[in-house]
Amino acid sequence: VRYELLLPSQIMIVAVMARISLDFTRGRGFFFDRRALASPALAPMTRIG
Amino acid sequence: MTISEPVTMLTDYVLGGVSAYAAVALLRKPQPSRRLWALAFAALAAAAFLGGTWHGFLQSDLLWKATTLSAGVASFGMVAGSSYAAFAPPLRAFVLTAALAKLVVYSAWMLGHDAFLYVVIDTGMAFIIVAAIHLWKWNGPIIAGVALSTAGALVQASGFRLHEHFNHNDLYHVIQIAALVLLYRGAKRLQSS
Repeated sequence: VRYELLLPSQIMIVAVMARISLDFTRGRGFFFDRRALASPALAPMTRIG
Repeated sequence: MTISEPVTMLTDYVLGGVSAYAAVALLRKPQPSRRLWALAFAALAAAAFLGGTWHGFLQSDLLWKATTLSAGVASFGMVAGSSYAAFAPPLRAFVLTAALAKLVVYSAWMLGHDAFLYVVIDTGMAFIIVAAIHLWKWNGPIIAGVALSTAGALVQASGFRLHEHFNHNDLYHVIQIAALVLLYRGAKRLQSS
């Protein structure tokens, strides 16, 4: 590992993806909740398209 | 300030903008499989913006690593989103776990490797799974998007250049933009099974 930030970053990314998989498999949890992925800050932008 | 590959940077940024738009637009009517595809588009946007910056301003190893990792997350999101639309439990959980395992292996491999070839291999594996899912549970735009994206990868690998200032990477990005539009149109149609 050549970069001190790389391995922790990868572990964090994989951990977040694992949590997303778990939440979507169970059909509940932070990432399954609509508001988790469409935050109030993002909500106005979701009206485009 | 010197921009080393301006056209490649610009086409990468346009690709990133289109991907970001697709991610946000898919969240307009949130639904599980579309949200997972939104994750894929958001990761693609990150990969494109990081890649564009790498081509244009800063050829840093760390920036390239971040680009390749973002591409891996995009592959995960595409497989997860399509499996969520096509399969019911417990098969859905199996495919999600397989997509996660693929991401773990890819991330570990990319710790010690930099070649774009590995990004293409990982994305190609994801596309094979996504195409198989949507040939079974038919989704024409996604199949067309996968086919066009694959054609773009072949163009990129060939090294073909249209012009002195429009090389294989630039053409690859333009083809990927068209493929992304098709993938987005297909993702909009998805419903969870």
